[in-house]
Amino acid sequence: MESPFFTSLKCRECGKLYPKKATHICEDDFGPLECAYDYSAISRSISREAILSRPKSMWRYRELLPIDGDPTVGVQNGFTPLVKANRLAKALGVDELYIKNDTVNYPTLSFKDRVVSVALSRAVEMGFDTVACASTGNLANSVAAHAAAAGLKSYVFIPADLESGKVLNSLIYGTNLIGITGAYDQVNRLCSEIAGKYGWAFVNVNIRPYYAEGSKSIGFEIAEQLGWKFPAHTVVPMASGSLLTKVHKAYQEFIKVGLVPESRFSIHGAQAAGCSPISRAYKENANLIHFVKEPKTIAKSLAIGTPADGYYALGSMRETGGASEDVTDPEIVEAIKLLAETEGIFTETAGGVTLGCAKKLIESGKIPRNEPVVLVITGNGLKTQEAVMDHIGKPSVIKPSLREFESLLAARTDA
Amino acid sequence: MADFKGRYWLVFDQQKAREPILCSLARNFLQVTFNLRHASVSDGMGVIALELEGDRSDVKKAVAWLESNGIQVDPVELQTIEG
Repeated sequence: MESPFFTSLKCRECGKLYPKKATHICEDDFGPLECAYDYSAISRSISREAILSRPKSMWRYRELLPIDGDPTVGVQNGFTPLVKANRLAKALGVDELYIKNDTVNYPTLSFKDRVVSVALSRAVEMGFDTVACASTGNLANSVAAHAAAAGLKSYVFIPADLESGKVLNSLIYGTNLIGITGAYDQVNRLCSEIAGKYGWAFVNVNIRPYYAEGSKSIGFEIAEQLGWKFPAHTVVPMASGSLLTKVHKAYQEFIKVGLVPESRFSIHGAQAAGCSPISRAYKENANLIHFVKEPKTIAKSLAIGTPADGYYALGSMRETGGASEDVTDPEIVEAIKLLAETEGIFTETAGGVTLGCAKKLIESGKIPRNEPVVLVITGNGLKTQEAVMDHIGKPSVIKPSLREFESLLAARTDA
Repeated sequence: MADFKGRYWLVFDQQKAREPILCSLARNFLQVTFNLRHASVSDGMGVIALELEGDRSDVKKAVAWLESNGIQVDPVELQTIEG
């Protein structure tokens, strides 16, 4: 049965409408397609009470997600904790701070489980039996895991020189993992060609409009968990820029369908200095993105040199009065440690970027210290242990002797 | 045999915008058809959306030729590889 709420795909450039098929680019101007909804119908159907009565997953906002029937893949994903981070707030010198903690998102410990859940549920609806993606980490893990759980065939393309730990986290699910040798540009073009040639659901290519919509659930959850209101400031990491635009869209949709009253909110972007094409364009007050040929940062999950949604992310930040920042590798490591030591949350490098940039935005006054802030922390630190391994010291080793322990303790107390 | 269609963003600096790159492309690759969908030059850089159609190996050669002339060539999806 067709959804009465999710109506069509729409070109973000020219507004041309397309049927709800596996397509992602406007045939006229190559503009990206995104999902369009009948907000009047949704506002007549949705309510806070209805949402509260549903299971605590990202699918409790199903009217605003692009599938026709019931979700079939990743049904229990999302609804991660919104942690009131008092100790971190004190360290940063702000009154009210929250962590949207997707380090514990089910099942592969990153926000990608949200987008893959929507992409694969939609792929099943459209009759695909094979799904694919090209990824260096989180997306690969998530597609492999969800495809296994849904009984779908999967192909995951990775650069041939990817670290063994990241390979293992996808291989374990029995996916067809294919390493591609060669320069990055060539690998990228080949993946585009493969996506066009085979009749597969390539999650970040031909079913990208559906895939990207899954990110909105982070914004929906933040607003609900704050008591049906928006934080004055939301800081979001930027790779392609898609997540930031979707948090913006989520807040706008909650206003449109009457779940949250119209109110001011600013969305800020965070990038690593070694790959900051969107942040650079923001700071230069430019609209065109200068692509980064060779990203150099430990935040590999954000190292997208040619960000597909960069232009739109700039628009979201400017429209909401947000700002963009970037941080160096040492600043990323310091931020990862700060989050772990103050809140007990171990984030991957992207979370270090978000916190590091938030710190700069607070220090520069772009985020006032007396206004509520939410940091979107998108992935688990166990995935990027190599980034911090040399910066956290080593355990003290003693003989099994109380005297040795007490002298160690005394030395530490004196220090 | 014209059996392959590739859709690309061409990105170049302002200096390159003064050069007749597309004219040279047409003259050097008579067997490749191109269709211009979008073009702009601002903020010190130029962007062209171009569809290339022809034999796969000829299209690949045309892309390589563009790159050898200092043009960055990306698929319309830009980055297909994510973190």
